[in-house]
Amino acid sequence: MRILGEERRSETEGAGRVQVDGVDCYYVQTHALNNAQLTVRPGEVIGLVGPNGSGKTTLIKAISGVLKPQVGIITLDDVDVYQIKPKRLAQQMAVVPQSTDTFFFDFTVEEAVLMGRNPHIKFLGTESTHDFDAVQKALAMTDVARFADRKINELSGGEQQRVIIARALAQEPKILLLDEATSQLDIGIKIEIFDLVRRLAASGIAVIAAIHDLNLAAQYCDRLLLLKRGEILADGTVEEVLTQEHIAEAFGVSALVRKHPITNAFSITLLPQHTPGARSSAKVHVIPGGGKGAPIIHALVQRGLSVSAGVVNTLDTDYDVAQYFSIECAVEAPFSPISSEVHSRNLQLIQEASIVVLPNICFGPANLKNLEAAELAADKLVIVEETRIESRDFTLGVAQHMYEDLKNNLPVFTELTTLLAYVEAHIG
Amino acid sequence: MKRNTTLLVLAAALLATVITSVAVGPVWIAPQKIAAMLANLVVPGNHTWSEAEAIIIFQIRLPRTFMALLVGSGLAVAGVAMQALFKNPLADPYVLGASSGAGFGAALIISLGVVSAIFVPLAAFSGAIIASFTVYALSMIGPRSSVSLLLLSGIALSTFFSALISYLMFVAGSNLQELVFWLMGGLWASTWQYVEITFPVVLVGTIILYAYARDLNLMLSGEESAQHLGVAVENLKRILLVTVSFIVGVAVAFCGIIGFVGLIVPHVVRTFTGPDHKALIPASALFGGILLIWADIIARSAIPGTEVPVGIITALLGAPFFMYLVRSKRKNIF
Repeated sequence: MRILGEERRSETEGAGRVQVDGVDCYYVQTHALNNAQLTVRPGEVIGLVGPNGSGKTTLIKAISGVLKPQVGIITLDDVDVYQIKPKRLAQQMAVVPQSTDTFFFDFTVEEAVLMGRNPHIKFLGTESTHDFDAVQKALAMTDVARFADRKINELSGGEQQRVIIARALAQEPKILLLDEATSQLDIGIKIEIFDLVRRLAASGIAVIAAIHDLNLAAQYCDRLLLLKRGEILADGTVEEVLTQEHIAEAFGVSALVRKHPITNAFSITLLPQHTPGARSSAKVHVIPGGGKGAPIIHALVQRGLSVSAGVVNTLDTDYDVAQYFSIECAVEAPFSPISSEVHSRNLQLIQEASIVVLPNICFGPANLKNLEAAELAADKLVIVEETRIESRDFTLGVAQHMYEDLKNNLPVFTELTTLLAYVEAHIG
Repeated sequence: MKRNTTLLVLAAALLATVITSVAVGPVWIAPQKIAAMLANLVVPGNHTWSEAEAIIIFQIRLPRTFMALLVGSGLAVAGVAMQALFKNPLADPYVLGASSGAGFGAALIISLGVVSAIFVPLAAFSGAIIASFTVYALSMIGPRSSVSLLLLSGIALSTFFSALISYLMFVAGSNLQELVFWLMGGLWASTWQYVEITFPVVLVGTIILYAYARDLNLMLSGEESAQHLGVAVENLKRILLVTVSFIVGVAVAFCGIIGFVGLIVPHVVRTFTGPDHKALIPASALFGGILLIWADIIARSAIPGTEVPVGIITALLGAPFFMYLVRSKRKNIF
């Protein structure tokens, strides 16, 4: 008896290694997946990212055995998944779909999760105590145990999806496929579910998840696969895949990619599309510093104006933004005083500009030259003042004196919107 | 526990229904006489009944009642299977075109003037099977069949056969009456021979569907999900289609097209068993039998001296009741 039992064990218990090799999938006319290549090892969390229609769902379907690829092969522990009987495959691989047919929702939560045991129950067989244990475990892990006797259609959307996830976990799979399983859930539940995914991965389960939210993907995946129109654009670590260039290529949008200073997690901020070419030949120059120039540069570029900036130090946020928008810039090394060479470059930019904006920046000995530059801009200068100059002066009154002289006969704005109105009125 | 109670209550109701059906008719035969006659089959005793009464019971009412029971059960479980397969509360055993296929087969034989007790059912059965398999073949996309295409092919084929039936009726002339009766559905022709053929088909069919109850539950969450949970979907579809075709083919062949039973019974039963097919299938089998026997009792005793086709009764009483059910228990219709 024992030998028989062990044989059955070794039959169903492979390592759970999935290999996708040169897979092409077509829907009637469209080429949904082209030469897809992927190896998934136990304990790995792989995120599939990419825009709608990029082939994430197609790849999930191909791996899960419901969409046979026309070219290439997908193997599970070196066996073609399309040669494995559905029941046998379901013992090792579970899928959480985007949505489930509502006809299913008349079942109670426990009945539904018990159906996850179907692959382990023989034809005409009945549930064993292990089956019920697995169900209880799955109910507890997904935090739906307290709804066990309720009908699914009485639950909220988030709870319903957790029931479907519980059903997948009841299968006790080696590989878990999530097809945008959390895209309709609110952020708290998303995080709960992906925390659970990490714990599952730690216990040796391989997870392949199609994820819409790039930040979520960056936070929880060991590896990402970036797809676009069926092609794999990038495959590697989060850092390797989520670059500004890749995101621009895949999604056609601009993004700021940075590491969060506290959590060290990646954060991707998608930026509104900016028009690359300038509409107006008239230029606006911004004298930035300490991040105060960034919102103004952004707003001006957004309005299709040609913008320059300077002098700015390379570690400043304003520098990042200027670089991002690739505008003309007088740049100084970090924490260094403005050299005369960079200063004259700045003056040149100011000369070319029709309007010069002096944001609400602080002044110290290092950037006092910027205030001199502002002075030289003469009647082209406009000032944005959000806080009093006294609080921003670190030059023992030198800057304050110069600033107040300037302020006397120049337009001063307290809000970005009024500044923009002024700029637009003066540059058509 | 609750499930077993439900089944027990239904079984008791079925027994009472069978006894009533045998007792009621132009000649009233008291239930105790019927009981004595039946007991006599096991332990011979005193004859308290006349020879004529014995013939009425054994040659007319019993086979007819059993036929109603079998056809009612068969159509009900076939309806359950089709509603699960199509995930559509409007699906019934006839969606595959079996009814119009059978109708065409029967109409062809009748209009050709071949009057034989065997040829009409044989032609009807062949028509039903051919129609079902044609619909399945039409629904194939590559190695898989598409459920929506299955539904649409069924509708298309039904329309096509209906047109042919109408044409045959148009040119049938004197044979029209027989054909119209057959199309409306009735149990008056029931014999033990019919029961002997129908019984194994319905019994085996119901057992097969019950064996796949777990898979049918999983089908409700969608075909792909079902496969992800280990259901060999394409295989299951074929098994369901063949099983349903045979049940419907036999039912239609002997009793014509009896509507509404296969649609309404699963819905009614679902309101007290829930969606689980392990309860739904046996309960529907019992309830379908009860319903059709009662419909037949009404069909043959509503107007003294004549008989209304039972299909008219099921539709006439079924439709308003169904509407009531849909409107009052909207949430439980699937």
